[in-house]
Amino acid sequence: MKAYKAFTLVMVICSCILLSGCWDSIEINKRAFVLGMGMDKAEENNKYITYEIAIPTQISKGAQEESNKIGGSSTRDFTKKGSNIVEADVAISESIDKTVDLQHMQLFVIGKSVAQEGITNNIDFLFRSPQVRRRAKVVYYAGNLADFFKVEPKTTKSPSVFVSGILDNNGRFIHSIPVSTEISKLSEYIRENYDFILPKVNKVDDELNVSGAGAFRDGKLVCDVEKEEIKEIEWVQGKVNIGNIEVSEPQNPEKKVVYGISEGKSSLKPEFSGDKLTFNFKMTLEGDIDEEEDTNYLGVLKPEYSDSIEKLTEEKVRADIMEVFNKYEKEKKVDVFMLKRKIKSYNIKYYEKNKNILNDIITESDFNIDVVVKVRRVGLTR
Amino acid sequence: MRRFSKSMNPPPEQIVDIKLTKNYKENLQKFKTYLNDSSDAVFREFALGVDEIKCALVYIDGLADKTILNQFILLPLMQGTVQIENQNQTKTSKISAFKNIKNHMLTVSEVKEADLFDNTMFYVMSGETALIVDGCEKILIINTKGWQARSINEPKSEAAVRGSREGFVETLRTNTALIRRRCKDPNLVLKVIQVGRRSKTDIAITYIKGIVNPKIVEEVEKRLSRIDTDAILGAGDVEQFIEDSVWSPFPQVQSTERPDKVIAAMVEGRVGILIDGTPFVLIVPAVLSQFMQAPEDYFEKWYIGTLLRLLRWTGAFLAIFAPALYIAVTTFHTGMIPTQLALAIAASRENLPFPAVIEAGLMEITIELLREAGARLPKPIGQTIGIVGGIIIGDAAVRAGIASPILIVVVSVTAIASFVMPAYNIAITFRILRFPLMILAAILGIYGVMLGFILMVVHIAKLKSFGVDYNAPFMPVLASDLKDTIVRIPTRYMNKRPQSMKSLDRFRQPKEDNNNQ
Repeated sequence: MKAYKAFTLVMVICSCILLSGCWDSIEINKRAFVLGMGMDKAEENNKYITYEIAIPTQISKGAQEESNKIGGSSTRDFTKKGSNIVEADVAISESIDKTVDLQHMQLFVIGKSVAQEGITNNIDFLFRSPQVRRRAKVVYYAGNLADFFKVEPKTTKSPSVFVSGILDNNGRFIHSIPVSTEISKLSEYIRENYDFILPKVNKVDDELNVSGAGAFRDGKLVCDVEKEEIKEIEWVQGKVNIGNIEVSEPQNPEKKVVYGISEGKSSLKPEFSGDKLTFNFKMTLEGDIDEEEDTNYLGVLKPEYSDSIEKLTEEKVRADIMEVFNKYEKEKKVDVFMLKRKIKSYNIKYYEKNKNILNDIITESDFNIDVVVKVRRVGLTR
Repeated sequence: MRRFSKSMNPPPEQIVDIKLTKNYKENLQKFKTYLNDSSDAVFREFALGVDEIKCALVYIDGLADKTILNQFILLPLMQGTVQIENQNQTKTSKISAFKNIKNHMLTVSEVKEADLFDNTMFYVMSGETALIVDGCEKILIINTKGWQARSINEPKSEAAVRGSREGFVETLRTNTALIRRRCKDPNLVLKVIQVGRRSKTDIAITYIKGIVNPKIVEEVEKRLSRIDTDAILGAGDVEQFIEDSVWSPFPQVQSTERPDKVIAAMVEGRVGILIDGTPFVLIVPAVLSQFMQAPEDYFEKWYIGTLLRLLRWTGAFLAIFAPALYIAVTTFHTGMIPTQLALAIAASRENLPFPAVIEAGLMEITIELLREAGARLPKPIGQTIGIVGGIIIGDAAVRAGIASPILIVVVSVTAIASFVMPAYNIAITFRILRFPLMILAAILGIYGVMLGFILMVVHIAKLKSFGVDYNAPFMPVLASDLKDTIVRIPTRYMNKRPQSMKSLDRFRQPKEDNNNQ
């Protein structure tokens, strides 16, 4: 009797496992890995959704095989029209012999036309589906999206991986490339209705580059941010360890000196006094002199020289930040500095109360800038 | 129960009276009843003294040392007796013969008297010689043990670079000497009992009185005395009789070929079980972490020992989980691996006919076959099989489109990881465990692997070895014992014996300050 009971128990457990398992297993070679996903506007309120799908046998070929030029391209694009992503996804799945897998998505590209129309109501799928990779980067492409996936980058086999690589490897060091925004971050921005910037991808001479950004308000593209203005935005947002600042030579204003930031810190505090809102921004920069046009000038070793460079740089930084503040926050009313987020973290009650008129309040607010610049090395090696 | 056909003679124990008599012929006949058909049994009859008192030596050829027999038994008895009688002008009578032989004639160190026949027979079968003297109810048992034995060699399954080169041999007495020589403590006890109705194998229980918990010794003795079988042929036989759970795949008794390991275990409060006829000594109670320890851990500096331990635990993890994780990741959770790797695996699996579980199963079975073939064949051929299997079959399987190269890497890493285990029996356990885990991974993915892991942990938590928790000191947590598990702290700080052994004497050395002076 005991043996019979044990046998029954084992059979019940085994059948439970066997009946409930396996159904969702898909062999790795039966999956279509989507490396990049694009969204652009189509006629009649529809969207074009493009999947850039990897061809594993081509993409994982070694350098030796690559030189032999065997086989075709490493990725294939599938574009389908749909009123939403799910509809297009279904349409794409109908035309692929493998299961679409979004877990390795590197990049989500938003086309200019759909960006201008607004993305808030179109990308909910990305935030909901557990299949979508949370760390995929989001960029905005200033052109017709169909061209983006046709580009064959020189160093990588897929345009999506190429752009993702630029953001990963150079975003931290090159001041014209904004720090990347991932899908998880974008979901927060859209949920909280913050304004944000997304890296801008351009196509120049059949090559892709990332430079500048698109500024979004209410999920809609308002304007482009110039690549020279990216560093000011990142400083205010607290990412200070990048950038070069060009100032005039103290003794010879026609010649230029380039100051390079090696490290720094910044803080931004909103101050609430009645209805008036003031932002106090403090930044300390430390850096070197990277380049000097007047190579004959030998006064660099004098303390006065670095003092004057420091002063000139401070003034330049202050003016630049103020210019960006005035241009975007005041004139275009798009919160590229993400001041709304700052207000929320400092005073949630104030934020909740004025949520809908924050753009106007920011326009009326004061922005105080306190910058300290230090020259650590004059960089004279001659 | 074994039945004898009518034509067959009944076994000797049913017809031989165990009581000895004064009649020389009757006594000799008792031996002959048993040993008449055995060609190696020798009955050497001779006469003692001038009165020619009949005597006989009974021994087994090959087990008894001929030099002792000739020089120290037959020579003094046959020639010496007559010479003494001639010198002293006396005669040896039947009544005094037995006493004279024992006290004056035999120049052998170990002589005892036996008055029951079955004892005598046991001694003869153990290599001792029985001396039957006419007119005497007792038989003299003379220790003449001496047979061809393997000399002490380096232990093959547990070689250590910096450790002792001596390993146990098949002879119990040599093994006990190897232990005794390393530990001169008079408290070291070596109790011998016979197990096996027919083999009557000598089994020695060894421990250090004053350290070991008497309850453990009691339990060991109880379990050994309960063994009632025909023959004990090796350490594995005894292990299976005395282990706590026969259904568990985990070894609950440690076996070793190294005397230093037995001493180390005894000073920790464990009990050693030596079995005649095998070079493997059993150590009980055993805990899981013990199987990950090698003598080298203690012979090298503590951080080297610790790193090696970490390496072995990693090896254990890989040996159990690597193929299962490969299956789970490639069929369910492709998002868990880097994109480049996912694409490389997908590319290598393109056009393969089998799902990952069948592919992995086939390759695992192949490697098990190769391992088994390599172990059974003579050494030079065994190595060739390893090379043929590892390189040629692996490569051919990839070329033939049966397996992907990445799977070959996974299977090879798993095989190598299982070789890292210092104990052979735990390595087998890990090899077995990975198959059910592979099936669970194929059905339920990582969830299945975790389920398998949880079942394993629950099982280990329940398991005991001679009253000691198998997973001590992790479950239950015994903080002071953790010093010698995954990490090994410096020897000078290892002041206490393992708490799990409940030793009578907790301290093995004074505290570090005193020890360092």
